[in-house]
Amino acid sequence: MSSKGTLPGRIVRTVLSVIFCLFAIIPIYMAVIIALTPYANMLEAQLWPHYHEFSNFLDAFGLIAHNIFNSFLYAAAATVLTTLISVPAAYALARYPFRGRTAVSFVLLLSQMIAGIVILPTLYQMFNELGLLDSSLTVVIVYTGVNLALVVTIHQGYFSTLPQSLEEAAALDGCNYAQLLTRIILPISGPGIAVGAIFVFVNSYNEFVIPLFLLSDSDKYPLTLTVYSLLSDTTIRWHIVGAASLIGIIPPVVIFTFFQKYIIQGVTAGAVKG
Amino acid sequence: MTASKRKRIVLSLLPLAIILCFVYGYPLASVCISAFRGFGGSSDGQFVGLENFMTISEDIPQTVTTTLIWTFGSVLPAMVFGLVIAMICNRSFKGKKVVVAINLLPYAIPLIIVASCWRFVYNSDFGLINVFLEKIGLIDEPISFLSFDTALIAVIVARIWRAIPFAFMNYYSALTTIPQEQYEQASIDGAGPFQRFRYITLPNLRATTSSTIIVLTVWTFLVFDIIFGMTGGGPIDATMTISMRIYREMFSMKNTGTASAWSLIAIFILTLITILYWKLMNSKEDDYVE
Repeated sequence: MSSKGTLPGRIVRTVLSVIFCLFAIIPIYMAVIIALTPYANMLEAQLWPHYHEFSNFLDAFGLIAHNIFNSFLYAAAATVLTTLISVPAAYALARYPFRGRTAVSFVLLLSQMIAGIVILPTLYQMFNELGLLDSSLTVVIVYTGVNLALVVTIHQGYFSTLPQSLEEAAALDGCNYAQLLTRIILPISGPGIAVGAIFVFVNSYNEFVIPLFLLSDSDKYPLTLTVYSLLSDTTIRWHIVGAASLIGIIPPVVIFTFFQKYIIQGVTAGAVKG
Repeated sequence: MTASKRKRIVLSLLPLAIILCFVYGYPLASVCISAFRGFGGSSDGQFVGLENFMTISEDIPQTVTTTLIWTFGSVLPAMVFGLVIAMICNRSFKGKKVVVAINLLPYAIPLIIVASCWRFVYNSDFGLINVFLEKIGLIDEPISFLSFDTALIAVIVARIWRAIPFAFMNYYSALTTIPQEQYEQASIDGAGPFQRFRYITLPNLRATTSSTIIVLTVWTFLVFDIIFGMTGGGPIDATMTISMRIYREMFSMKNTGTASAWSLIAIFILTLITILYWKLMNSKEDDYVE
């Protein structure tokens, strides 16, 4: 295909890309308008920002700073835990054709298909009986559980591209299995592990329904729950919701923009999550 | 296989198995039991047969229909729009990087913030759609998009917005794998752009289309945050999907039994789709010989 194409074709493509870009950007743009408006002027019709009330961002940040910290903490802990559990499992799945491997893969696929909302009522019941509700650790473990299948799939795909000879060389050098994984496989698996880690981190940071069921202490709320509780106030402080939403999307948007190539790789390698 | 190798495999998979049993295994088994047990009242803790399903039976047709409209109403447009953007970005032009980045943006945003941003857009006082329509004189009174008649469409639009990048990414990578020679040969044979699309692009994208559509369908089916944040299932059940029912039974009705019954219905429909997906994937690439 020629890279320029015919003139009518180029016009159609330009118009379409402008329309799709506008559609993609409008809700964010709308949040910018709202976040810059003083509360008293909120009901005014604005097509572009008439006000520049940047103090709204400071007010919102003061309200949510603690929750952003919680979100980071849960996401980081889940990322580490998921990676630690996934690496040996994915390596075994990628390298050893044992009986039942297909069954394991099927269970992993199935768990990716079951969204949290289906199991959360009984998960809530279980943690309630164990007295583990309202605990950060519980949230981290559930985040880990719901992301494991995805990360094992990514790691498995990566490990199966590594040359078999590495392992033979390691065996000759007298490496045991743990040494093989930590000294030989891990150092050369940076890209595969990074892709997995990015997905767990962003998924966990964006998670809403799991903490909604499992946490009731607002001190432990991640950012997403706080945004919701701001949205469900009887008088909604729109300017604060707008500013909080914009601050809240900064971490995942930065990560996605920075690692765009990895994200596309991960998604097409079967990192299920539409 | 040697005993030490076997032990190694078991040890490698053990932590994974424990977490999955804890987070999926037990709750799923428990859903299957709870759906047939009474919660609260005189039948608390007892086996009640199909009573939970009878309790919700009136709501099943409407809720499943709403869930299916929500699912297919957002998946199919997202697939088409994703393909269009991918085809635009499949050639080089000035500003392509920006177009790609902007169209991936919604994928990064937490669903609950997707809900809050779309509530701004739909708001009848300051929402951009109403402001714009009033400015150009199309309407005198603001439209309340989140009212009974339009709420389902309104949440579907928000879901389409969030789902397009996923379809876009999959098609974008798939398009780069189509050999250019096929297009060149077709051009030499006198095929126009529409024929090239119909006879080269579409057949080459078949595998991507089926896997993407199934993944998006399964995920959209139980999306919770967008509807919960925008309408909470209302007004008057207009956006009451299965996932909203599960939440309502659990926290408003305090009934794990009926909540589990809804979960089982969802699992049943999703399992059908998953089996379809599995068959599709395995017929696509030959399984390794074990």
